[in-house]
Amino acid sequence: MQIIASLGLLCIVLGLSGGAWYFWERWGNALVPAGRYLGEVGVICILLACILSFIRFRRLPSLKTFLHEPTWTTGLIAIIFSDWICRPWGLFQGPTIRGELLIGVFITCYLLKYGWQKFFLFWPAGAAAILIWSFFLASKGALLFSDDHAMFIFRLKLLRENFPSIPFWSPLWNSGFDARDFFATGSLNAFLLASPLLYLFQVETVYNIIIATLLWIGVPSSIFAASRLIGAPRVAASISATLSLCSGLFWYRWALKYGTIGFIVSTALFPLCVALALRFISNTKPSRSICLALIAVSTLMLLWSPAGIAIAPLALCTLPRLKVLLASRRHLITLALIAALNLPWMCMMWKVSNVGRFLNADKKQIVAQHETNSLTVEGASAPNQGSSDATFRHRAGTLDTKKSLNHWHNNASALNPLIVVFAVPALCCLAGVARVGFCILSAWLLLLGTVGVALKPQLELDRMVIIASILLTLPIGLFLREFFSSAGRNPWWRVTASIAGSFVVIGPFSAASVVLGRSDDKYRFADREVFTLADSIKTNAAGGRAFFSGCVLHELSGGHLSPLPLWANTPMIASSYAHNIWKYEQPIPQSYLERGDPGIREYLDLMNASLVVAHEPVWREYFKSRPDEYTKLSENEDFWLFKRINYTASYAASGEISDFNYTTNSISFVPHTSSVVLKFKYLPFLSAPGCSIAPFPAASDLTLVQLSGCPVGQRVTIRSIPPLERLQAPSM
Amino acid sequence: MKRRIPSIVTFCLAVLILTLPGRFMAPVVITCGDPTSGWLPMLNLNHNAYFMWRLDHLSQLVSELLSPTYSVAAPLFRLILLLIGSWILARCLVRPEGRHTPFLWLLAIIPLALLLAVIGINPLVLGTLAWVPLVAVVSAILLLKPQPRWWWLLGAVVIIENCRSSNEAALVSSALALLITFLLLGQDGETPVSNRRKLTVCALVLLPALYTVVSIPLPPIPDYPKTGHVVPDEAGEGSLLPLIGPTLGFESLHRSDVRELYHSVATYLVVLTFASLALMRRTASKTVRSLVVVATLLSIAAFLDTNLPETFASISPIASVSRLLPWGTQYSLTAICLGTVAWLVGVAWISQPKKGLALALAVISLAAIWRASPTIYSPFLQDYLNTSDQSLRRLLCSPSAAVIRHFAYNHPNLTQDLTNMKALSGNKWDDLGTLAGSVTMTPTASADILSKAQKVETYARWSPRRGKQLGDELLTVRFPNPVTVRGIELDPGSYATDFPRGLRILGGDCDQQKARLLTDTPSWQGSLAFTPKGYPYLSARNQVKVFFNQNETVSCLFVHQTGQASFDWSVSRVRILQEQQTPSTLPD
Repeated sequence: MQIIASLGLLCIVLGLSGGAWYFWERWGNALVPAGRYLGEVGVICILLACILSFIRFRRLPSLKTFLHEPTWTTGLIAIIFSDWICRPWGLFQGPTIRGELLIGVFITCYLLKYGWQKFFLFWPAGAAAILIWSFFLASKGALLFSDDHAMFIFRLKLLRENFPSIPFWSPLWNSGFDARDFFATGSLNAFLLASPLLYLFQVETVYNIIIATLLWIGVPSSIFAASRLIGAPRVAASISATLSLCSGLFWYRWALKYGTIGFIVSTALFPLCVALALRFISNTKPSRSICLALIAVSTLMLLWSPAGIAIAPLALCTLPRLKVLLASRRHLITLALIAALNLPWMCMMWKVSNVGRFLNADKKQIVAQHETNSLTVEGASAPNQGSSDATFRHRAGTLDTKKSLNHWHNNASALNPLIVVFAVPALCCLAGVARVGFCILSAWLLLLGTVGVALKPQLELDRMVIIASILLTLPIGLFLREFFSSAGRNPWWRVTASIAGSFVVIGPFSAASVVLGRSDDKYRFADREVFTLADSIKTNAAGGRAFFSGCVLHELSGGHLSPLPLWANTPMIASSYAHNIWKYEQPIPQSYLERGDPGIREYLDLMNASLVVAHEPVWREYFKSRPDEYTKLSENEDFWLFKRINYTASYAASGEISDFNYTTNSISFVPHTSSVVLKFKYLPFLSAPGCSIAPFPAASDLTLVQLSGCPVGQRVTIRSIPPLERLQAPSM
Repeated sequence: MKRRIPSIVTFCLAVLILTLPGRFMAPVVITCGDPTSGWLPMLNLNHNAYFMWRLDHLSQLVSELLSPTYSVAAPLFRLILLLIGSWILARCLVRPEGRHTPFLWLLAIIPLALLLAVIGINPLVLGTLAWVPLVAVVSAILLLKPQPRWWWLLGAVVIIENCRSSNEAALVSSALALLITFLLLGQDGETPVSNRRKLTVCALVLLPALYTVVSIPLPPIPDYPKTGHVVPDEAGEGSLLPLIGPTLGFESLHRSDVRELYHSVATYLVVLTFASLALMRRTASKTVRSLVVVATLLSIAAFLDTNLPETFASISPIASVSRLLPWGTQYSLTAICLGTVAWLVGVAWISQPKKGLALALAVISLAAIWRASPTIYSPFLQDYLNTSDQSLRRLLCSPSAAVIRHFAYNHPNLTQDLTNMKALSGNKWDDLGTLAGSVTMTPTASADILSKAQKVETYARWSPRRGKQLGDELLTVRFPNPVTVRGIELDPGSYATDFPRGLRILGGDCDQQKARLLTDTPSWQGSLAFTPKGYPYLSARNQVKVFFNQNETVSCLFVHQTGQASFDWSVSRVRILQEQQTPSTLPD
């Protein structure tokens, strides 16, 4: 009966996760044409188990009836022998990985007989060593630069100089920008954790070390601690820690390819925060260390704001004990401290980041605003990439079961099969408040990651599945430990336990192949072109800005342009220096583009662009075909650098200034006229002591900074008003 | 005296076999540079294993002392080392009453003879095994009872030399040595050994091996393009890359050649190990039996690796383990495995009481292996090694050697013609229209729409449109007058998977029966292409440019597609190569 009941539940899980199933590879006829067939078999099995239980014991089967470990392991066997292991984006990339898994089975089988506990106790350290070695081997000494990593380096450098005075105004990009995304992106948590290294060394020197430490020392340590907090033995905690290193391909995609470090830190701390919270809730008088750890961990975790949504349902666990909690002074003080630490920055974020607008950005009228720009250069339209409604990512959808199921299928294929197969029995094996808490959170996160992603795409809720997978490593570690302990019962138990253990043994090797860039998902390190371009700009800028024509997103070594101004000592202009656009956008406003050459020239003058960088063929051709205006300085693999001929750099659009200087958060100069219009975009939170500051409409879509009443001959500094003032101000 | 006859006969036989000219001493590798000067690239001509190599200190010393005869001195020294090791190990393995077996040291030559019969003078295998018995014995001594410090020092020296000797295979040799060590511990009853001591010895053996594999530099790699490759891509692109450790970025080891080379030897060794197991099950000690069991398991692994179809061989134990080891896919683990089997079986024979049986088995084995795989000792490109052409030697000393061999089967004079081929590969290919040629394809060719095809390749292509390749497709190119051609391009255009899996091209008169064979490529792996520095490589498989060995005057070309695949064969453009008279030279 146990077998039938477990098989039924397993079939439902596999049916929901796998779609159609083929034998060995995706050729020929499907063994199971659609997941629903497996689901139907599962329902029949469960009904049969219920009938049998009712006949034999006069009651429905208990939860324990559904937890026959060898039966659940047949799910892993099905995955190994089916096309699942060959699907794209799998962590275990078949078909050849079957061989390694077989080797893993033999190793685990041997270990189960001669001391598996010691091996699994030390395996996380071995796995972490393999992964760290692989990472530095892949880097070949180059800086991790993929996608947002470049932006993250930039943020860390800005934070190093400006923390805690954030948000602030920075003149480095696009004629001045509001440096406020430290809150929304969760940069602060990694910054705080890595601050000792960041203040001692250059960010570029230690960045790879920070990432490696966070990913392969921080994450397993956090999971180990969390597992111990929920009462797991050391071996179970070690298995969980190992699993956290090989939880799935998408984990490494977000960590190494997309570079969302705030999310990564937050996810790593999530299970620890949950474990601490559960201990905090269940104890009438929690220890001081638990309270302090909860304050620290929850604050660090919440610095990536969507973590708040992820952990919110845990509040349900407090309901039965609400009376006790409210009566406890220690509980109340802890909660008050958490609120005191987090509410100020949350308020600041809400105010400066336009969170309300962002949350409604999926509405049709707001999306439409993003889709109006198009480029016409000399009659030739540049590729208007992703401009159609269908490709615009941030368009809200409706509740669509099929789409949600597809989201889950994609995520399930990328996860470690242990997590997919053993999640349900592992959750059922937990006891007390831990079971309730983990079940509620896992269900909530999966719901957000599959259904929520279609409803609020701008929140990128698909990441919630990754958080769920990391969270589930805790109960699965416990479950596997129990399974391995009982492997001596008979050969069948030992073989099935060995199959499960094989995924723990081989998982880190598979993860290493992902880290080494040998999987379908590849990430990039900064190649020589990044620094060659920065050096060329530094040499030729001559007091002006560098202007990137066209739409630049990941063209520079797979990463964003953001840190270039710091390396080139030159402010820059580009359509986007970060990943904040989702369709083709030009840096030159439409009103200037429509006027053709004179308009483009005027805009470049207004932006004080002494250098022009082109990567799109249409723009390369544009600048190349005007040798009297632009001269080519260098030609790298992707970017061509042109210098503007007969242009004298100056940051004053009208009036006269000298001794212009800039830092990461201010500009300063000596005005020689009392009124000056600067080639910087006006933002309402700028201040210039000694002058009055006002917007100057240069065009319908360009507003510059105008200063009046300045003391002639005295140095003037423009910077953002202090953060607290900004918080109190009515409209900034 | 009667007892000593088998030993003496065996010894003489083994010496006779070892001294046969050209058979065992023939090199199968090229070392690119002076082997005594540290890390150097090494290429195995048999299966294109390409990796960095260096000698251990002792071998280096011997080589430097005998530098004029290095090619003999270094391997010979390792053989002597292995001989001594085998003798010491055999002495440890035989029961106390048999330790004074007459001429045991003479018998120790049997494992060596077997080893050489199986894998030849393979520096990788010899280097891997040379120090193993010494490491095993020293480790066992260190484990058994407290030893004075100089024993630990000796152990450290032997272990470090083992790592320096085995290089990329340091983890394999260390693991093998540890395995033998623990088998030796079971000799003469159970001796209790503390876990701490076991851990210390394991760390002492494995840590230097780990350090060795981590510190090995990458060999110099020619600047192949991303789509270029040098060996056939059988199991799917990149699927045979290792999971950990450094890699060249492409597959260099030719797994098909490994299989072809060793499949009969592996089969024979399976039989031999099972026979040994059966014969020794009562007479031999438990440790000796364990050694034979290990040899049997290894031979089964080698058998699976070399005899199964590639789909299954790629998930066999050896292929899988090689992907789990750093550098594991750079060298042939199968060769090491087979060498180990032969050596272990040999050691087991001389360690068991019935020496006459060992003699019989040795004679039968050597004779059988002698017949089994003559290709092991005669690598295809060996004849070119003595060439005075330095640029050719430079090309052979790179992963490109596999490409030269791949094309040389069809073009025996390729090595002399490489300069010309490089020039040809850069020549302009003429559209068929300029020669007024026409194309038809059978069966069910879509249409003879040549002019349209030249203009809009996406919409017009020759294809049987069956959704798969069956091997019976024929594309015929007709010219109004005889033309002199040097090659033909069959471009699948944007349908990247529609390249032919096998090609057989005939040409001459338009009567196919009278046409002569111009080229036959049973498995199409890509066109011959060259890096700017002149290293040949195989282009992407969907680049179908076929060069003929010489200028051919033809009125018709008959292109037979001989492969099978689950994709259609289609051609969007046919172009012809006509030789120009300005060949370039291979740059240095």
